[in-house]
Amino acid sequence: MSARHARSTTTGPMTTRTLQILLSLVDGPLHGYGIKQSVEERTEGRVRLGSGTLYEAIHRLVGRDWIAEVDPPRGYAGSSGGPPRRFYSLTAEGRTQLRAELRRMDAVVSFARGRDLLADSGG
Amino acid sequence: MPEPLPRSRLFRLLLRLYPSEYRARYGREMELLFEEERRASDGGGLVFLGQIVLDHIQASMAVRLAKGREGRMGMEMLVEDFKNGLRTLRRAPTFVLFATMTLALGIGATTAVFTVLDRIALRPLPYEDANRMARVGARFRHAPDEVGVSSPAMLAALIEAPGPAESVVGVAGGGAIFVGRGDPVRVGLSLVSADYFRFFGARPAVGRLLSESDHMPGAPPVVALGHGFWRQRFGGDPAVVGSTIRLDDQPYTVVGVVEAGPVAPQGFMGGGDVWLPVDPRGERASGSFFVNIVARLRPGATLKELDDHARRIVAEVYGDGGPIFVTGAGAVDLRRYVVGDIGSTLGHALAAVVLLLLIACANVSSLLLARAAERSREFAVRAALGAGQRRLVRQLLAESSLLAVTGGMGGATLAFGGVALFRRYAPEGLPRIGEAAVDVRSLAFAFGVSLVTVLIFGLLPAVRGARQGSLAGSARLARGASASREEGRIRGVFVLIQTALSVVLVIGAGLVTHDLLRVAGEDPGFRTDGLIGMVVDLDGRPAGDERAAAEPFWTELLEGAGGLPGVETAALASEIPYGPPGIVSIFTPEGHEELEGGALVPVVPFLGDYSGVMGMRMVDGRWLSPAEMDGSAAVAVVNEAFARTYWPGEAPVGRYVKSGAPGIDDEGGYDVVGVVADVRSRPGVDATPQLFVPFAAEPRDHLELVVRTKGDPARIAPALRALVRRLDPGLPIMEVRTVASLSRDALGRSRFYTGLFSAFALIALALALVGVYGTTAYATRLRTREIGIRRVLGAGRSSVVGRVIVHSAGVVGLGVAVGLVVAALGSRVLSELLVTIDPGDLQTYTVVGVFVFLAGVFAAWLPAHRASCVDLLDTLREEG
Repeated sequence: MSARHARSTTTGPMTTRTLQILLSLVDGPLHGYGIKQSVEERTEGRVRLGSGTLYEAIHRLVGRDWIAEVDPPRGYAGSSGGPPRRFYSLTAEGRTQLRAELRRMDAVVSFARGRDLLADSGG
Repeated sequence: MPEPLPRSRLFRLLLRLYPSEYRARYGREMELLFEEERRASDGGGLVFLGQIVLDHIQASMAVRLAKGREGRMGMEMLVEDFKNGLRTLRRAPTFVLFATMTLALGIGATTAVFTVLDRIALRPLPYEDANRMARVGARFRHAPDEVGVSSPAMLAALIEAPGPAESVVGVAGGGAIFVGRGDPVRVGLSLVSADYFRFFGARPAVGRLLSESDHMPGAPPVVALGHGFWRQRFGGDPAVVGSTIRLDDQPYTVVGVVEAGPVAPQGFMGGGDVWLPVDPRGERASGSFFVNIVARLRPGATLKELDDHARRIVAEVYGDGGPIFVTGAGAVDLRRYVVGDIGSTLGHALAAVVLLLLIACANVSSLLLARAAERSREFAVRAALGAGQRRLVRQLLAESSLLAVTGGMGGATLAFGGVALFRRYAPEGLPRIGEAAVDVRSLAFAFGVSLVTVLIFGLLPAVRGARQGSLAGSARLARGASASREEGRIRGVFVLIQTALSVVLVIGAGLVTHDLLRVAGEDPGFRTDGLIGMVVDLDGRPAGDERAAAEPFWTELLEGAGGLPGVETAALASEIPYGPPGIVSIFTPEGHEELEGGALVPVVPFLGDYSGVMGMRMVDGRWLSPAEMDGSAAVAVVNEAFARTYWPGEAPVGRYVKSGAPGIDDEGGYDVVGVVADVRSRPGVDATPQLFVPFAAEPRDHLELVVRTKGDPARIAPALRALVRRLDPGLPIMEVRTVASLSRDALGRSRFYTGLFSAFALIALALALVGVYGTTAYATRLRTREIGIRRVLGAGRSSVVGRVIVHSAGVVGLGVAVGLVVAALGSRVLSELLVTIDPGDLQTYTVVGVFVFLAGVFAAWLPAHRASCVDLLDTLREEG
């Protein structure tokens, strides 16, 4: 199984949704609703994740071995009184992929800075 | 305000969009998230709901698409397995050729037999509502379990009162002399009741078929022509419709031609050349039974009801004064009647080919096992490269599937030839054999069989091969001694199975062959060589010819035949052995006056030196003298069977046989003057009582001319035909055939089955021997080193060979023993095919057992002998 997914390491640019989900896991494991809140806060509601699309993305990223399901952090279970939730965390592979994507973006941004493309709108 | 549709229920419906395992994993999480979203959006308005629905449709589609892509990955892997398999097999062309041919033989034979069985016995008859059709008829004293022919009066009564039947039709065969368009010929008539053609759904090729009004009394005489007759006599000319033909000198108008192909099942078509309408109504209840009746049940009615109804009808028609030989009436399913015991015979043939197929599978399987053992290094490498056991099994099964596919294709091709052979050599009278042809069903069967064979022959080697691969690691000698011992045991079991199966088949074939040889070799009671017979029929001669007036013709014919060059003697008789059966009359043998209804005895009136021509042997008394041939002396000769049956242990000569049943005293009788040795009326069938009387005493208008010739009797046939034409140009030309050919035809069916079973048995035996050879060869090759060392240590060549032989002989011997037991238990099913021998015939078992054992030991000796010739130095070098 793992051999097959290893092929997907050389991916092109990520979708905004994938990038945002990976970013929201940088500080530690979150459950689905936590990811959704983190993404929507950070993007000020520009990226919205419905219950369907969120889990479709999670399923896909788990399949690619970029994120993995982990045990809930200690002390979580009692805090909201709700049922246990599935928590997800970045894997090493996910971190690598995120870094690669950010470098690609950085290159694009550096290029834009060099041509002074950001100055006008940056004001 | 209650919500019209609880939101959570709507959400659960949406979850149904996802694959079940996905739902099980994320469903609960998604529902929690949904609840939180709903709270956040103030209870969830319509816009929120719309967003949710769209969101889930989109997501579920993405999930399902991704899953589909994964499935395609599986397909790719499968394709890869097959490509690998193809590559591997291409490197072993001899093995592939051998395995394919073995499988093709098995699959081809099985498919061919299935095709024939399917057409003849499994498929419904090709008529609408055929499953509701039944034969109705009288039951006779000589065969009370069978539903036989009926009388016209029975047909009339059934048509008047069909009871549980929806429709009742009858048909009878007949003959007439047709004059016009070439030589006069005797044509086969089919006399049919109204509705016959509609009953079987027949259509006209030209014109129309017989209609209701054609059957009415006083209707103008019309006929429909059979397709074959129309093509043959009228060259397929459609203008024949409306013309007049003459049958027995009576004019008939042709209304049409029946379409090509059989109208009705065999036995329900009459002569089939010319179809005549008849009306059975008004027939008096006579003692003549010659009508074949078919009825179609009303929907919902049962065969039992029709059976009861037929019995009531016969009782009504005949009352208490019925013919003494009729015991009742009944009904039987039409297909069962038509197919008869052929179905079970073909069932045996199918069982035989399945055994053959199993042997083929065992053969290929043991080859694959040997290959797997040799390829354990390759598997180990593959396993080291990350292929799991399951993957290895799949790869090996892919190879086997490829073999099965090529074997299946070869088998389907062979099946075409097999069915053609079947049709060509099928015995006369095998019902529906003309319909047999390889079709989609057969091909589907061949395909199915191929798939099953993969599981039979491929699974074990695949699983073992894969296990070896993962066990062996990369070490060359990792296959431990215990593993190879286990393999040896498996190979032994394969040899055992193959030997046992082939013994079963060879015994089956041996039994039918032994039976045929015995029947063919038995004393028929007369000399069959140099005899030729010709039926001469004066029926339908121009009117005014009384039987007595015909006698000069017979005398002239007899003298003419006797005077032909090459002819020794000639005679005329109402029937000859192996020919069509003659007429049975009622007699009362002396001392049997209490026998109710009298005795039914075939009576044979003859002219000329009948016993001399036939080469019959007198047992007691004398044959009839020429002076007695005028019939005035009222003397007769009986055969041994007659004497045995009616006067056991008593002297027959001088006793009296009265004509007619007891109590009827105006028909005269015969004094018995001699007893002749029994003559079989059919090969393999014991003689029945017969009474030989002078022609003058029982004149007939239908006799068989039989001639004994010097040299080849067939050469005299044209002269016989010319003689008849010279004597009476208006007589139809009948078939002339030698008694030897009659004997061959009579044995046709058993010859056919013997050939069939022998062919299967030979193939099976050959496959099994190849299996024994291959297995022993492989085992000895594995032991080459051991054999070499033994020889270095001083063991003689013969002792080395001896060890291998003793081992193989043990396995083969056990296989033979198992096969003999299985055959003994199973051979009862063959008893209906056997005429003269018992299915437990010790001689056959002994011969087959010894033969297969010796053949098996020989097959093992060959490779052992070769191994013993191995160069000692080579062995030692390999060791170093």
